[in-house]
Order: sequence, then C-alpha cells, then structure tokens
Amino acid sequence: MKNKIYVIATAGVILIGIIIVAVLGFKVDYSYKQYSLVSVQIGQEFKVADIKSITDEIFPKEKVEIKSSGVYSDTLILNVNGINDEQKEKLSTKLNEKYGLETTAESINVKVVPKYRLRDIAKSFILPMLIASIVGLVYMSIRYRKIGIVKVIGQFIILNALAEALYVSVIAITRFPVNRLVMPGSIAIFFIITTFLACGFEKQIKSEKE
Amino acid sequence: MKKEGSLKIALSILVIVLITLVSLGGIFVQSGNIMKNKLPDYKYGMDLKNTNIMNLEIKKEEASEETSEENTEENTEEITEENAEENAAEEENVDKEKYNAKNYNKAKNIIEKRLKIAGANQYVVRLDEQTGNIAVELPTELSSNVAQGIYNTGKFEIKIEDNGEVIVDKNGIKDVETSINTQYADLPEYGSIVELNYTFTKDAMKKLEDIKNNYEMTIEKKTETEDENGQASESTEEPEIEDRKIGIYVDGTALYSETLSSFIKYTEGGKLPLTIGGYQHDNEKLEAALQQAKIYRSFVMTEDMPFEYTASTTANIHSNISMKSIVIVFALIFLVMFVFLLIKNKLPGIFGALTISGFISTLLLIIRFTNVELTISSIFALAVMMILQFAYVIKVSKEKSSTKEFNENTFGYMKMLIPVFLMSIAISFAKTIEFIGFGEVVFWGIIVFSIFNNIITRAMLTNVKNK
Repeated sequence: MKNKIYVIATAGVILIGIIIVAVLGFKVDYSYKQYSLVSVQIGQEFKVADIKSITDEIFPKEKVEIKSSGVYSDTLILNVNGINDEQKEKLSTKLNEKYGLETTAESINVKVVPKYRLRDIAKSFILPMLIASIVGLVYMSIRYRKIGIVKVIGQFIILNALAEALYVSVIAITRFPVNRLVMPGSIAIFFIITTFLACGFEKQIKSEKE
Repeated sequence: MKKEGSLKIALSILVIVLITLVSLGGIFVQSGNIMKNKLPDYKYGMDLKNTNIMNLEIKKEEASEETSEENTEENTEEITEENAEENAAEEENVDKEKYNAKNYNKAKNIIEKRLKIAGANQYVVRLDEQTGNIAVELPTELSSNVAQGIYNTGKFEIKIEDNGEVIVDKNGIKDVETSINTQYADLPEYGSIVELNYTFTKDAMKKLEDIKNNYEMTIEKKTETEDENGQASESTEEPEIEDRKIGIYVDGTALYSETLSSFIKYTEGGKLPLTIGGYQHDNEKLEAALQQAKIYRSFVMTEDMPFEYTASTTANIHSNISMKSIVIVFALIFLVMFVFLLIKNKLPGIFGALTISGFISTLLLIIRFTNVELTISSIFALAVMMILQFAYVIKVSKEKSSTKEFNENTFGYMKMLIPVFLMSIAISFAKTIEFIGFGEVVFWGIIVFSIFNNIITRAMLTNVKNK
C-alpha cells in the first residue's frame, strides 16, 4: 500500500514537472541566462552591502549580482537583466554621492552576455554519465548475477531515471533557478541511488546465502 | 586490555586532532624572514576564483568593392530607384548567406574546439543566435595569446614570398604536434624549448617535390633608379641574385620564413619542425610558449572563422563564492552531525563525530597533494562524502554494537561503494572540469574512507565499546 502511494506521488510530481517545463520552461539564473554586465570604475574597495542598498533602489524587485573585479577589487560589476539610460544616470549619481566620484552615465560600461543554452550544458554531461553508467552496470551485472542480470539492469536504469526526473521536476515546480549547483546535484543523486541499489543487492545476496 | 584500549583511543584522537590542525592550518617553516606553508595550495576552478569575460562582436564588412565599383560605373548613368533597390536586395541576400544562425553556431564550435586544443579544461562559450555575438568566460590564468587566438580567422598558408603563390594551406597539413624538448634542460646556457612540428599530407609533399624540380631557387632582385626627368626606371647595372624565400603565414602575419632551398631540404621527411620562443629555464615562460604553440596548432586543426570579431574583455571578475563561506557551511553541517550523534549514541557518538572531522581533514590533505581542482562540483562531492561518513558512523557507533558488527558494517559499506568507486574513475577522465572534480573527490574519498575507518575509527569505536 505504502509503495503504491510513493509511486503515485512520484508519478504525479514528475507529470506536473513536465507540464511546467513545457509551459513555462525552467527558471534560470545569471550563470546561464542572458544578462547585462555593467562595470563601473570606483577606484577604491567597496562593500557589497553599500552597493546593495543602491541597487535595491535602482532595480527594485530584481535580483542583482554584485561582484568586484580588478587586481585591487576596485571595479564594480553588476549582473542585471537590463539597464536603461535612466537607471545608468541614477547609478552614476548614487555612486558619485557615496564614493565622491565624477562618473557619468556614459562612462558606465554595459556589455550584453548571451544565454548559455541548457541543452549545451546537458550535451556535455551525456557522454560521461553514459560511460559511468555502463561501468557501474557491468560491475553490478557480474557481482549480482545471482539476483538476475535483467532485474539488476532494469532496477538500475528505472530507479536512476525516476530519481533524476523527480529531481528535475522539483526544480521546475519550485522554480528554483537553474545554476551551477544543479548539475553536480544531478551527479550526486546518480551516485547515491547507485549506492542504495548496491546496498539492497548486497543484503539480498547475504540473505540468500543465509 | 583496558589500558591498551585507552591508549588506542588516545592515540586515535591525537592523530585526528593533528591531521585536522595540519589540514586546516598548514605546516609553517621559516624560509628567510617569512614563514612559508609547506603544504601545497588548493587549486581552484573557474567558479571559485577569478574569471575573464571576453565579448566578441562581429565586424560586419563594409560595402563590397564590387558594389562600389558598380556604383562608380553607374555614376555616369542616372541611378534609378530600381537600381538602388536591386543593390540593396543583393546586399541583403549576401548578408543572409553569411550572417545566419548556421554560421554563428559554426563560429562558436570553432572557438570551443580551439579552446580544447589549447588545453583549456574550463570555459563557457555563450552565443546570441540573433546577432552572432559571443561571450567567452575563461579562467584568468589562460594566457592572453590563447584568448586572442581563439577568435582570429586562422587562415594558414605556406607561400612563396616574392609572388605570393600559396603552396600549402591547412588541407595540406596532416597533423601538428606540440611538445617541450627537455634535451638540453640541464645546460645553463640552453634550457627547455617548445617545439611545433607540422606533418604534411602526401599531396602537399607532391607539390613540394614539384617546387623542388621546377622552381628557380633564386630570383633577381629588381632595382629601380631615377632617370634625368626624375621618373622611375630599371637600373642598367647587373641585377642582384638572392635566394627565393618561402614563409608560413597565419592571417597574413609571418610565423616563419626560410630560403626555399633550405625549406625543401628540411621538409624532405614529410615534417617541418619549428620552435616557439627560445631556450628557457623559466617554467612560466615555457608554459606561455606552449600555449602559443597550441593556438597555432588549433588554427590548422579547425576551419577558418567565418567572421572577423572585435573583442573587449572584462578581466579579473572575482567569484561571489568565498572559501570562508564554504568552510562556515561545512562547519555548521558538522555541528548538526555532532549534536545528532551525541544525542543518539552518547560517548561512541562523540568519537564517531571526531572521525568525521578526521576523515574530511585527511581527504582535504589528499586533495591538496594530488592537485584536484576545487570547483562547485567537487565541493558538492566533498559534502556527499561527509554525509556518507556520517551515515556509516551512525551505524557503527551504536552503543550496544559489538566488534563483529563493526567489522560486518565496515566491510558491508566498502562492498556497496565499489560500483560508485569504479564510476568515479570513469568520470575522472571526462573532458569537463565539473565531472573531473566530482570524480576525483569521490575516488579519493572512497579510498580514504576504507583506510581511515579500518584503522582510526576501528581503534576508537571498538575500544570504547569494550569499556
């Protein structure tokens, strides 16, 4: 009974995830989406908290990434969805007030950084995951052959596929921004599921021996 | 028996404390007037340290010469609206043939291939399919030669210098090898040198054979003088004879120049050995020369870029993720584990928590010494290994479990980790740093797990149960 509930719940979450991806796509953060890279020479070190209070005013309700660049960390870098002339003017005014500068809107450098397609990220992961799966499957098929090769391979593929699909669906449903943490998470899940499977098969072999 | 047990526990705690202090602090030795850390530094990946972002914008060609010639011819005629429209339509067609998503993607693929050939293992190439503009994120250590080289056209020609005749292009090159020759590395007046060896195809060798048989190896150097009226005329003196020269050109810039006779002689074996930079003892300069050689190699091994680009770089962008914040997160996770183990398993739980600290510290030391590159992915793997040790310790530090159960649990864990151990080896050979980092940390983590728990954890937990 419990198993049935788990299966139905998992299938439900995956289905909702598929619908959300089809309709809305994934939410992506600056690691992968298109953004404007705004750079301003401050000429002195600055605190992120001070810059945040300025950017909250100029870019309300928008996530802004604040970084520094340069050998002396004296150049301000802002990653934003976009910046218009009015916002540039406000930014230069606020920075001049805060740091005693004489920057103008024209001296603010803006470069558009294109998006990094999620399918390009996925492409680079397919081959290593495939090779790792084959290596794992070959070992487990030989080690747990007494349980049945088809059963071992079947469980490996189905459980890993379900776990990854569930992971991706949860990301889509919760609108967690896809960033550089997501892919390592996927690899970790793959390794954890394989470990649990191996644990289960070892117990089965042990109980059959006894 | 009890004294021996207490001694083993005390020694194990001492070893764990020592390893933790060394791993987190370091071993400092006086070197001149400063204290130097003898431990090798961590190697950080692009996402944990500084990056450069290079923005490439397509340089669109000005109106072609043909079109401007046509316009000059038509100046004498009346330029009708129809003519103007025809010209505009023709230009648009030429534009669409060249400036389209297919060629933009081709340019992106060429850049990625050149970066792989140049030895970059971490980079992100982002393409705007509407405009063809590209942004490349690169680690700051990648030399500026490589950064500039990846977007050059890469037109490779071997041509006769006096008449510009192209003898061999990149299709005539079978392979290019780069290497560092250390034959004279021990000699103070020499050192090591970077070599760039071109191997020609059979067709290219046939062409060079034709040149050898049919070309004059020398040319007359024409000199001009001025006559009485100040006009240029050929000199009446006997013309100078000079050796004909041949050169390797990349995007019109000479990479190498030699007399034709010598060139033919050097390439008789089907190969042309060149050197980049001079003899060096400086490893940094050698590395820079090697990266330059790899870029030259990449020009031959990839197609010509379909466009010219203008580049602007935002350099040295610091990562938002600091090691300090990562250490704090791990410390908090460890604290939660410690409290859980203390509540669940009492004294054995405390010792179990200590083994988590010892295990992670040992793994971090191994990571330093084996040059594992720390990226977000490898930090994730480190967290997974910490959780693995935690799960293992919960089981083996149960108050009432015996030495026999400890052995069964430990070997049981080791057996179930074999598939992921083999998988970690497989992904450590992947081409992307995210996989390499994750695989290497899991690989070393499982080895450390097996050895550390069989020695230190066994010494602590089997003896604390005997009390």
